Amino acid sequence: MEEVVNTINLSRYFGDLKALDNVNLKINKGEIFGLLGPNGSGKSTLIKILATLLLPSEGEAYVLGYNVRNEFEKIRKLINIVAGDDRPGYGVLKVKESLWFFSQLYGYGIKEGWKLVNSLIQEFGMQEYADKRLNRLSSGMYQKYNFVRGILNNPRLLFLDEPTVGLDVNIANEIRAYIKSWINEDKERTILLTTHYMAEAQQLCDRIAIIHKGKIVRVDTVERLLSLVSNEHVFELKTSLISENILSNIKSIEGIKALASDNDVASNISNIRIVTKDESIIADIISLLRDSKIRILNLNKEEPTLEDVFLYLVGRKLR
Amino acid sequence: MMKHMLKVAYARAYVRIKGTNRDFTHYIADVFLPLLGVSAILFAYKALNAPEIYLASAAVGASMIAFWYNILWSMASQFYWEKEQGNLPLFITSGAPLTGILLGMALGGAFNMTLRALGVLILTILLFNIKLNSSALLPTLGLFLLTLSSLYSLGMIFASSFLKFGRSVSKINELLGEPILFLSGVYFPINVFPLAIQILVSLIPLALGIEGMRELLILNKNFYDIIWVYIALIFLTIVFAYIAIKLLKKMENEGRITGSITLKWE
Repeated sequence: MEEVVNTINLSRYFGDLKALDNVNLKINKGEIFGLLGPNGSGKSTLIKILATLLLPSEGEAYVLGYNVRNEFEKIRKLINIVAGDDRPGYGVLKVKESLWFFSQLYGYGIKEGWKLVNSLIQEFGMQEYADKRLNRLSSGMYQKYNFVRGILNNPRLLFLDEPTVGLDVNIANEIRAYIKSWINEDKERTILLTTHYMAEAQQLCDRIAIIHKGKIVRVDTVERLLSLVSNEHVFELKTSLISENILSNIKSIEGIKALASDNDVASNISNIRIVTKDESIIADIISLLRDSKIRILNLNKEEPTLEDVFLYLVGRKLR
Repeated sequence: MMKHMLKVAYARAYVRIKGTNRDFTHYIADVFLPLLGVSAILFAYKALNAPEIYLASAAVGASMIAFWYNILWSMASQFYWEKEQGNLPLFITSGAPLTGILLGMALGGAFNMTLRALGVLILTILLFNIKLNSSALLPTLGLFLLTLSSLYSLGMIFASSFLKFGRSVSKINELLGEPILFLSGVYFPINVFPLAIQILVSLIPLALGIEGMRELLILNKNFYDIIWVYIALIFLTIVFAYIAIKLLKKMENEGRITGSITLKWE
């Protein structure tokens, strides 16, 4: 299988901070490859290196066979980036004008650029707001425009950095459908996607790399990753505010595979997610909480998700 | 490569011209407010019974102010804002030559500012009955274009520097605003300065351009009388453009090493 991305012992430092730590990763042609990790895990640094915006400190990275260090000009012709939290373009320009502007950056002719933009506007059903200025678009419209901008040059590798962040469910689903149909149109295309949304990763990705503190913890298909916790039991507990001490006591109960909690001090509530080997362990947990005078407000048994895979592998919540 | 650069320059100039002129209300701020400023000086000159050439001198100088502010606030800091908006990484990864972006910014900015400068100049001439040497229009146009070339080449150097130093350089903008206008002799001829300062000031294209235009339009000199100004401006354009292109390449490479191209709020 042809590799679109290949990194060899790739590391990147920012001063003393090691943002990427010996990353070895291979992404195959035609796949949607997900990078899953919390903020600061190194996802964006990796994307920036692969997109030729940042140089590695150590190791090598190849994109479509070209070295990011010295063959970046060849790489740039074959890639594009869509970042969910950016608003590229100029507010005073209309959607179609802005897309045309970017088409010129990719080297299309003046008329050719307009032709391409008009056909994409039709294809993506953007006629209604093609003449609207960018600064008057809703978040959903903007992200759709941004996605179309990202495919203007028909990239062989598209970086999608949180493409649906902050969008409502319907628009997010629409964008996901576009992503899926775009990649299915041409087997030469590959997507590297970063997301916080587990459902998105599950829905879109062929394979996922879990990244934490700059290291790749695991790379596998969604099914295989889920199988790591498919025999485990996941409980979501809502309790009165719980101390670190009590949490440590819970963690020390035998058979607990992973535990993550967050405290909402304003409402005096703790949310705890626990992955256990055995269902019966929950009785021990409840007993411990009762003895510690902690009120249980809610207890749910959940289906294991990628969130639990992350919890299981890394020992903390993704978000 | 050259074709691509010109296409990019055209597209970037289109953004600037189309974007700015879509909303005509900015002309109120861009033409009438500077007109108020120059009017105050012209009224003062009139009240003091200053010679006509002082009035004409101030009118020519005032019409050129816009270019300097455009260099500082639109040209120099543009890459910083492009980075904040998320455009700069896209420019870079598109493979488009950044020199094309800069050239487009310069052409678009120069076009917009020329409209504004013409507005200020025409209104000043009409309101204060200022007389200029109309037979010198052609050499003045040449001088004006050379002034813009060297001025916007200097702007390209500033833009490249912003790429490295980020928003902290905006303080330099503030610092460069009024002193350069003062040294350029916007409202008075620079020959009032001692010779040493006049020589130093000759490195500022704006000062050279304004001085040359005054010689042509007010003091009735011809092209050959001030040929040194043309030569100096051509020289400055070549030097500034060369430095800008080299600096831009250097900043882009450094940006890849340090991350300054993509790290926001730097």
